[in-house]
Amino acid sequence: MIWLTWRQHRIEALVVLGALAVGGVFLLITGLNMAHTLQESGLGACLASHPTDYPSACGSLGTLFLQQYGPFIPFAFALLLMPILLGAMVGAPLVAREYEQRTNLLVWMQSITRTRWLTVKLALVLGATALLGAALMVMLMRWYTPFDQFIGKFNEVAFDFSGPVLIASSVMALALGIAAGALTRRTVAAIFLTLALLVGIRILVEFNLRPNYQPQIVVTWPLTDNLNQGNPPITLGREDWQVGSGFLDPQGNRTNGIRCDLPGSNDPFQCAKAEGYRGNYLAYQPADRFWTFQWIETGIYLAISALAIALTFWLVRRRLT
Amino acid sequence: MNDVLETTSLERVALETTRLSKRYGKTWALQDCTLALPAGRVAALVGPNGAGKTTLLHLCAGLLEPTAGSVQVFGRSPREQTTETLPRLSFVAQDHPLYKDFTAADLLTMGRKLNARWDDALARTRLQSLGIPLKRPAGNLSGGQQAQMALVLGLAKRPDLLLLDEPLASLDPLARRDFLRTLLDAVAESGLTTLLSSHIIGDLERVCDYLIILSASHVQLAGDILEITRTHWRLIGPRQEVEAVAKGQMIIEASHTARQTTLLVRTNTPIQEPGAAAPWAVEEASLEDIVLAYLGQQAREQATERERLEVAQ
Amino acid sequence: MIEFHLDSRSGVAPYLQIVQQVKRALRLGLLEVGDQLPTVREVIAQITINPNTVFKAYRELEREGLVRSRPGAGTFVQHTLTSVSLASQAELRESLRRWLAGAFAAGMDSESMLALFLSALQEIQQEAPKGEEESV
Repeated sequence: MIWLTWRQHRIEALVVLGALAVGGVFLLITGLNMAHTLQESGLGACLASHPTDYPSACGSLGTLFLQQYGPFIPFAFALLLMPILLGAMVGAPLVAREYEQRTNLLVWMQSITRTRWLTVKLALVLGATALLGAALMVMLMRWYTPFDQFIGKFNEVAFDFSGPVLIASSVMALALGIAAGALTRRTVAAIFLTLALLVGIRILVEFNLRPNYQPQIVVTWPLTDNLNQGNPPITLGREDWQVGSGFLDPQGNRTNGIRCDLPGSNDPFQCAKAEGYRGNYLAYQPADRFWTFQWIETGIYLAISALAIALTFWLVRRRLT
Repeated sequence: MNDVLETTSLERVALETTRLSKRYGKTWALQDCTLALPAGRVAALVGPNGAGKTTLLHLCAGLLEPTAGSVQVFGRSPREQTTETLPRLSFVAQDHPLYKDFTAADLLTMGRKLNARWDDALARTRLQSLGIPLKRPAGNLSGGQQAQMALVLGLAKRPDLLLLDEPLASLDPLARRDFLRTLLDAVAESGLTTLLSSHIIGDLERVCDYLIILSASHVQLAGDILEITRTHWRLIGPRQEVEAVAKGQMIIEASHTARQTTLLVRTNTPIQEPGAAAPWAVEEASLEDIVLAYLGQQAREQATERERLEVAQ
Repeated sequence: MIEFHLDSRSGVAPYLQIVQQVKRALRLGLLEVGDQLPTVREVIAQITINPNTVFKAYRELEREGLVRSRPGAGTFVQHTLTSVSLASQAELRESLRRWLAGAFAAGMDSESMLALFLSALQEIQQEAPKGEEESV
């Protein structure tokens, strides 16, 4: 059964390894480049001597660095698409194609029970996916270390790969794909369903769940009359996660912008005060919650995976065609 | 009603079903099917499309759970006692599915790895004598070759019972002959029991020695083919309404022209002399006619609700 | 080696056809005592037939004492059906051919010839019944 799983997925495995290698080469080249620049520009030395003062110290050097290497970040994160693509292109057809081509009638008669067939397949494919997630995590974390030194890991950019979350989300992508395939028993429908689910979960986690795993700490201060809104009463460190900032409207709700209806007013902030806006706010999650958040999100992804796997077993045992 | 002709009690029973039934939602695919297929036979399962043949085969293979009744392969349930029955049981599904990107060598490896009992040398010999290349992807083989490949895979397991779902349906006459030759050669060599379904009746008599007629989700007739041909006769006589024919006879089909009535009857004992059923002239009925009569019978029953006539003695 | 063929339309059960063909071969001297009948697998290779049918036919022939099966070796002819030597058979065949040629020349068709032959055979049998009659 191990041989069979390998034989059925060997091309996909090789493609993944190839993509990983290409990605690895890219990360290596740019990574070495960044390390060199860090050294040359003096940013590295500066951060070393002012570990907690960015951006007040080393700010201009940091900005230059970000301008130069920031554009690479999306390319590196293309690697994060790999688990999603795998979920759709490897997970969805895994069970669906067997039903579609009726090869399940061939393989389930080969002295192997459905349960054993599915167990071995899932173990191997999900296990390989977990390894892929771990490899991506290590590679990206390593590559990211320069950025880590001044914007940290607790942010929308790095949280996804800076811990077990990446392993769990990769496994979940595959598990959902396989379950979608078992449900629809049609490869194309399963692919669409998988992508829809993964995008939906992504949006839900990113905007609704992750910022609220523990209650956000919100700091408010009053409006001033001028454009410079004054500094918030606290300064966030690089390892804190700024979840949001903006204004408090007349009802006390958080909002990003100011709506100004009074005629003949040029200064939005004067207007805001006149309208009754209550102040500024800053919402954040403190640095010491990073690992808690990583494990909570990991748990969510693993729970979804477990449900998907259970559903797959139930469906496969019940349906023949 | 279920007509099962007696088999010798000395014969081992390879496949037995007892009031086997399967329902999908509101529809009964199979109802109340009882049969006992003796070991070593090559049995034909005939019936119109939609009669329940595939469902019956899936139940016998242990791929489906019965709604009611039971099925036993060599005395064991294929669904419950999978580890004991699956190694002795092979099933070639309709249109002989294969992994299209696997070569014949790959498929043999799969069989070898997954089955405890596997005769790789035998499989290779058969493929070689059939001229099936080992390194070509199965999807690139001809239809006949794919069917043979699926059959060889099923046979390499050394099964004691082989089930085939419409194996000849998509094959041209030459491929059909070759397929049957491979199958029958394996039967001669190992004595395995075979059950194959077909909605085509021709040439049944030379290949099969046991017949099961399935129509409208019921077993209409099941028995040894020689027995069946010996106990079914065509009676021709002057036009009359037939209430009863004779003791021990059952009318399967009756048709009338202006002058003549033709009956297909089943008797308990063979009709020895031509004059025994006077004033009827007695003729032998071909297997094809017998099958058609039983299949038509169900259709007529459903259409007119006329009861089958039976002697009340 | 005898080659079998099956006629699906003859109405005769397949195993009986095999039996009849073996008997015919025996009568014509095509099979002699000691000759081996084709193995079941050889028969299947010739005609696509159920092996049980061949077994049954060979068992029937064995029951009639015409053949004998030796386990592991095969099935062998034990007893012929012709008491007429091959030479006499050839002579008789020649005279039959001459008669047939004459009948054709006289304008008879094959069905009439057959009817004539059968009626003459019946006459002879009634005049001087022989020992055992062959079942046709």
